[in-house]
This record gives sequence, C-alpha cells and structure tokens, in this order.
Amino acid sequence: MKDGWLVLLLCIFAGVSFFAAMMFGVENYSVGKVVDTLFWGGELDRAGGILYEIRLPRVVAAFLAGLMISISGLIMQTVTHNNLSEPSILGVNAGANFAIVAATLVLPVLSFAAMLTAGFLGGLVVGVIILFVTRFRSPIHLILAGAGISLFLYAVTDFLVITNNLGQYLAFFTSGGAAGVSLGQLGVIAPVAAVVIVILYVLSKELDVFLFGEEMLASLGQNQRMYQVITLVCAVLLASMSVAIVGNVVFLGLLVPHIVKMIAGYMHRWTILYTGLFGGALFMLSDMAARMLNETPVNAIIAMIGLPFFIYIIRTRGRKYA
Amino acid sequence: MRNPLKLVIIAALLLVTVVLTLVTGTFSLSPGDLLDLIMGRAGADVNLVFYEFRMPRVIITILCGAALALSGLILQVISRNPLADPGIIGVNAGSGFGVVLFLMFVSGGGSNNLYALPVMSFIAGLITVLLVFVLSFVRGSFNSNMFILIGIAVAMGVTGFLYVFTSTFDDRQMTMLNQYLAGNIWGDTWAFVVVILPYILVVSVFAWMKINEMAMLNLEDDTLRGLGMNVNVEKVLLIICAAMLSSVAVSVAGAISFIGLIAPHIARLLFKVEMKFVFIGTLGIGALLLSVSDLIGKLLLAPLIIPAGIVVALIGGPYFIYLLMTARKV
Repeated sequence: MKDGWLVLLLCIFAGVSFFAAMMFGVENYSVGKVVDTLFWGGELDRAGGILYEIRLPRVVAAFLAGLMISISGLIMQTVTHNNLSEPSILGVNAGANFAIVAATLVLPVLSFAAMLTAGFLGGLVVGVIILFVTRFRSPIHLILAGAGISLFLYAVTDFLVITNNLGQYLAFFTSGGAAGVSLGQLGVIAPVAAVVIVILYVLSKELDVFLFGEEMLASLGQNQRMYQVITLVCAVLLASMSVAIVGNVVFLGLLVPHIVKMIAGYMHRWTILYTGLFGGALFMLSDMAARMLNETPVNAIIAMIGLPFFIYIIRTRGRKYA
Repeated sequence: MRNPLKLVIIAALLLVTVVLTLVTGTFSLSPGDLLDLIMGRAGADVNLVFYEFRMPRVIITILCGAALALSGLILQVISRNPLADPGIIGVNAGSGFGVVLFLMFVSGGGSNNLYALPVMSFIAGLITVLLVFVLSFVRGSFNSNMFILIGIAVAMGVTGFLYVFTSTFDDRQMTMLNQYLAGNIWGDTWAFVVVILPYILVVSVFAWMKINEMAMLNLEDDTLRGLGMNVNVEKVLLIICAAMLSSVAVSVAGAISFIGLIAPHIARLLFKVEMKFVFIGTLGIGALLLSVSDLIGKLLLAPLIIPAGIVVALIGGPYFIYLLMTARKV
C-alpha cells in the first residue's frame, strides 16, 4: 500500500518537474501557455513554436536521460555487489563516448541509430573488461579500474579529437547537456529504453536475489552468470544511450538509487520505478537550473550537487571497503 | 644485473632522449650546428632555439616527470595500493579548476598575467588533495583506502563541474582549457625553471630524509606503532610532500596522469625492495617517461604537436590494464 502511494507521489513530482522545466528557462511561459501548446495544438505562434520545437524535446530528453542513468546505476550496484558502482565510475560512459567519437570519424554521415549502436558496443566492451579483470577482487579494485580506464579512454578520445580537429564535438561530449536533441532521436531511444526497462522489471525477483551475495546465489541454485550478463547488458545499453544524448553525467546514477534505497528499501519491483521517476525528475530540474544560469552545462550542476553526496555515501556506506 | 648499473642505464637513456629532444623539431639542428654551439660560434637563431626554447622545456619536462613519479611512489607506499596515482585522486582535476578560475576571473584572453596561471592551478590542486586528505580520516586515524575512494570521487566531481563557467568562454579560452587538460607542457621558459627547480629539489630531499619510514610503511599500522613510529604524523608529512610535488608539476605541465602510476611500478620491478634505489629509480624513470612522451608527441605527427599528457596516457593506459589483470591484492 505504502509503495503504491510512493509511486503516485513520485509521478506527481515528475509531472510538476516537467511543467516547471517547460515553463522556466531563458524565456518563461505560463502554465496555461504550456498546457495550450501541448494539449490543444492548433496553429502555433512564436512562443508555442519555441516550446514545441526546442523546449519539449529538451525536457523529454532530460527526463529520459535521468531515468536511464539512474536505473542503470541501480542495476550495476546490485549486480556488481558494490554500493559505489555507477556507469561513469565503471568507465562505461568513457567507453561509449570513445566509441561514438571513433565511429563518427570512420563514417562522418552516421545515422543516429548507428551512433547509438557504436556507443553501446564501446560501453559494453569496457564493462566486460572491468568486470572480468576485477571479478574476484575487492570493490575498491573495481573502482580504481574504472577510474584508470576512463582516464585512458578520454585520453584516446582527446587524441582522436586533436588529430582530426573535432574540437566542437569534444566540447559537447565532455560538458554535455540535453540541448539540441530532436524528437526524432528521442523516438529511437524511447522504445528501446522502454523494452529494456520492461525486461529489467520482469527480472526484478532475480535482481532481488543478487542482494543476498554470491554464496547465497550459488546455494539457491540461481543461474547467476546468465542473469548477471542479461541485466548488465541492459544497464550498459541504458547508460550508453544516455551518453549519446546528454554526454557524460557523473554521480546521478549513484545518488538517485541511494536516496531511493534509503527511503524505500531494496525490492527491485519498486526501486526500478522509483529510481526511474526520481532520476528523470531530478535531471529535468537540473537542466532547468542550467538554462536559468546562463546555459551552464547541466552535468556541471549535477556534479556539484553529487560530489558532497558521494563523499557522504563513501564515508557512511562505503566504510566496509576502506 | 647490479642495481647501480641499472641506474646508469636509465641515466643514459634519459641523456639520449634529452639530446634527441634538443636537436629535433621544426627547426632541426645538424651535428655541425651542435659543434658550433659547443665551440660558442653558433648563429643567433641556433642559440635562440637551443637555449631559449628547447633547453628550458627539456628541464621542465624532466623535473615534472620526476616530481609526478615521486608523488605517485609516496601515494602508493602510503595507501599500500599499487594503483594509486596523483591524477586518479584529484590533483589534475583540482588544478584544472584553478585554470578555469584564472580564465574566468583573472585574464579572459589568457594572455596577460601569465604567471598567475601556474600559481592558481598549483593552489587549487594543493587544496584539492588536502581536502581529500582531511576527508579520509576515519575515527581519528588516516584511512588510505578511504583516501583513494574519496580522491576518485573528488576527481570525477571536480572534472564534472570544471565546465561550470565554460558557457561564457569563447573559442580561445576553451582551446586553452582543453590544451591544459590534455597535458600540454606550456610553462617552458627559464622563469619557470628558476622557480620550480629549487622547489622540487627541497621537497624531494625532504622525502628522501623520510626514506626509512617509506620503506617500513608496508607493514601493518599496529606493528609500526609497536615499533614506536607515529604512523599518522609520518603519513601526513608524506602526503603533503606528494601533494606539493604533483600539484606543482601539473600546474606547469598540464593535466598528466599515469606517470605517477607507472614509474614507481617499473622502479619496483627493477629494484625490488631496496627503497633507496626504488626512490632514485622512480625519479629517473618518471623523468624519462615524460621526456620521451614529449619527444614522441613532437615527432609523431609533426608539425602537429600531440600534448605529452595524451602520449603518456596512450602508453600508460595499456600498462595500467595489464597491472589490473596481474595485481593480486589491492
């Protein structure tokens, strides 16, 4: 019962954030204007045009990105048995970023779907490498591995960028942001994200079992390797799609699942919903703040909020690693 | 092979690299020019290139490479973790933030007040490490794993919000920041040498005086306390050394990672447990790595110059992955 209410509450929160994000920015609009544009359609005046053509895709992109990053972080934390896992920490974002830049170089007229595929493969390779080399080792090993591989991959990306004069491209991916995403691109991403999230939702019981730890998994007879692979592929897919639309976002995938788990416990049936809604709403609001602060990169804002929180998590929950 | 001989080989390799760096480049010097230089009858242009452009750059490269390597060695000894590196735990990000602040508030074009830039990036880098350090005390005693975790967090977070002011930057400022973050050695004039040489020398000598403590720190804290060492104080002093070394190196040489990780590791492979040789070997290998990287960056795609930091990472990344696969315990 309590869980149902929480979902409702988060839906309302996400709805309010959506309207706020639609209303405020470089130019502000009233609620009425937003509702008119979205629901009544008709012929669009100038303000309506801006709302529909520029701001709506941006807000939706922000919501989707926040949702995908947060769920991806949640799954990675569960499956790697590590409270500090998150796509950017594990180097998945760096891998996706590198693959996208490399693919753009090889084929300059790449379709958006092909770019997504490249990002996914890049992220997947890094994720597999990291899990493989750190499988039987301590959680701090996992995190150092991620940090080191990220540094390496960003350097390789820099190398490609400098030797091929792609400065603009780099600036976009390092600072990121939801601006400039088209509704067509969202039309590619949204269905894939929906399918992936449904798969994860169906597997929520198996994910719950991961929380018991490896020995318990073995004795319960779960085919853990298989579920680990399936869920991680899903998580990497979500993370790499978010890299393709908003660049590298740090900490969000860590912060949101932790807040959710503090409030609502650990059952994935619910946490997947909560993290998705909450992460999406949070990213919309951060993007709104970014727009109001002279178009500051939104990732910078999230990093600024996330850093103290991350340190807090390390000092409280991460103590067993230290 | 005897240990002193290995050191001689490292020195010889370093010498070869230095000579190659001095004579190659867009304006390459012939053996005849070199002879002229030694005899003191070279033309003004040769003199200018040799003494004003290349010589200070080589010296800066060697100093910064050695400083980064020593900083990495200290961090690895203290954290008992072979994967620690000043770049991974936030020095580079902090210094980068100093550069952003400089571009934002001191000199918009990045052309005047040029000496304020290294000072600001140095201070920002130092503050970052010290902050990480202060945050990694658990119940009154310094916890090295906490230090690494928080360092990584701060590195990521600060790298993220580095870009907070960049929406107001023009192309030139953005290029400058990117060059810095890619590890482009730019503080290559005699003025920097004069400031940095004594500074690094003093800190290194201080670290050298702590060499017995460094050799013992691979024992458990409790054992060390039993032997009468004030573990916390020693760690604090050494960490401050590491922070001072790496932040000054990064402030003139740009954000360079992996040297602090690889150099101590190679030194340990070569010299095993003899801390004195490991120490000197680390300095030499660090200097060698950075100067070789600078040379490769200059020659590989000439006339395009690839920042040394990128070359270092291209060499160091695979080595790091190899380390990850083989390191048994972290």
